[in-house]
Amino acid sequence: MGGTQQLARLAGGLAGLGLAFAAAAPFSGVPPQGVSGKPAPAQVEVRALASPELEVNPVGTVLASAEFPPPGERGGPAVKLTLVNQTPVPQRISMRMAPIASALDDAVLVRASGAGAVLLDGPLKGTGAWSLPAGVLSSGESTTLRVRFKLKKGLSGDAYRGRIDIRQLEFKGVPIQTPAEEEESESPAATTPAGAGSPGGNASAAVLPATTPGSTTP
Amino acid sequence: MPRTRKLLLTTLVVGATSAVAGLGVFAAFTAQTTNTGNQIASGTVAIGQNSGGVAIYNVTNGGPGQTTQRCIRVTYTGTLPATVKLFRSNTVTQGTAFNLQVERGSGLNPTTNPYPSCTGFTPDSPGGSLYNGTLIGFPTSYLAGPDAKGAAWAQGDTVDYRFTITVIDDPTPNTHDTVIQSGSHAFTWEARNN
Repeated sequence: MGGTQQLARLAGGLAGLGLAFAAAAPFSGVPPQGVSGKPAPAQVEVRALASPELEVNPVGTVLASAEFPPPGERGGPAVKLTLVNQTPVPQRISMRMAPIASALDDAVLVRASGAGAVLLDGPLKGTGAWSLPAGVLSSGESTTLRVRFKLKKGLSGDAYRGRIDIRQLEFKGVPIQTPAEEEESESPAATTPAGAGSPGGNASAAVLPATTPGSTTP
Repeated sequence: MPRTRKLLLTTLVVGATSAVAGLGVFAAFTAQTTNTGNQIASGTVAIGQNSGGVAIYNVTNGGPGQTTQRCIRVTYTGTLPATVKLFRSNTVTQGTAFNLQVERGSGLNPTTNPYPSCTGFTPDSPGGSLYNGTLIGFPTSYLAGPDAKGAAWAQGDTVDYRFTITVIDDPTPNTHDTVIQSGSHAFTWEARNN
């Protein structure tokens, strides 16, 4: 009789354990835990790429494993770069943040400013496309470009915890056309201005003819 | 037992047996595994230069033997490895009257010595050139053009080039009483992913 009772207790215990596991199952998808046992924070890695028209300093990894504070708190990851116009003509700045691993598209806000203009200000999602050219850098002029990241307010932990987003900052200069050049480019008979940094697979530089016999070399 | 009742009972037994057999046929243990998140995106091929649309050289009133040196920096920003070749437009006139030398190298600092300055330029192979000959002889197509680096370009690669253009001396009497013009021409660095 005693043996039967012991067996029944053992079976009951096992059943209880099973029920406990079953009850815990819905919560098994909790976010990854950090070393200290706290939820792992979201991270961002940023790389910067050289540009044909703008000298970018530094290039390569400029922000590694930078952790986000909780949503709504101040002091998110930030990047500071120097851009120098290395062309002989004034340039507007266009930039994009090409996604290498886009894990925080919907969770992060980004703001980038430089040369007296705001280049990006909004969700990280969509920053893979070139921004509208803004600011002005004259030939040889430099500017400090600041990029700040922060988590959106009111996010649930699942939307960001333990996620690592990797972006590549890319820049291009867009030459500022003089009114005369604009007029020329609008004319159907005008030839395409050569030499501008081409976004495609080729780069051209034009050589103009000596149209004024007897004039001196510039 | 009435005949109708027997018939109904038989039908019921056959139906019940069929139902049990049917359950046996459709019953199965199953398992699945699903692979999600599939995507595909192309890489990029992109190249640019620091001329800002300004010609490498624009020489007027060039005398015999007079040389003009100008430098340019080309940067590859595509994600795919690419072969880059250099060629000119097919718009050169009187190209036998001019000599063009193109050298590959490094060392330019366009932010302190703006384009098209050659200050700091160091050729990769002193004495060697990508091209050294008449302007007319410079290739006009990607296939015929010299390899602009001699190796595949990777993202972020930067190469400097020095162009030396010379008016070829020609002592033939009475051949220089009018201007000899090359015509406007362009140089193109074209990147192709292999």
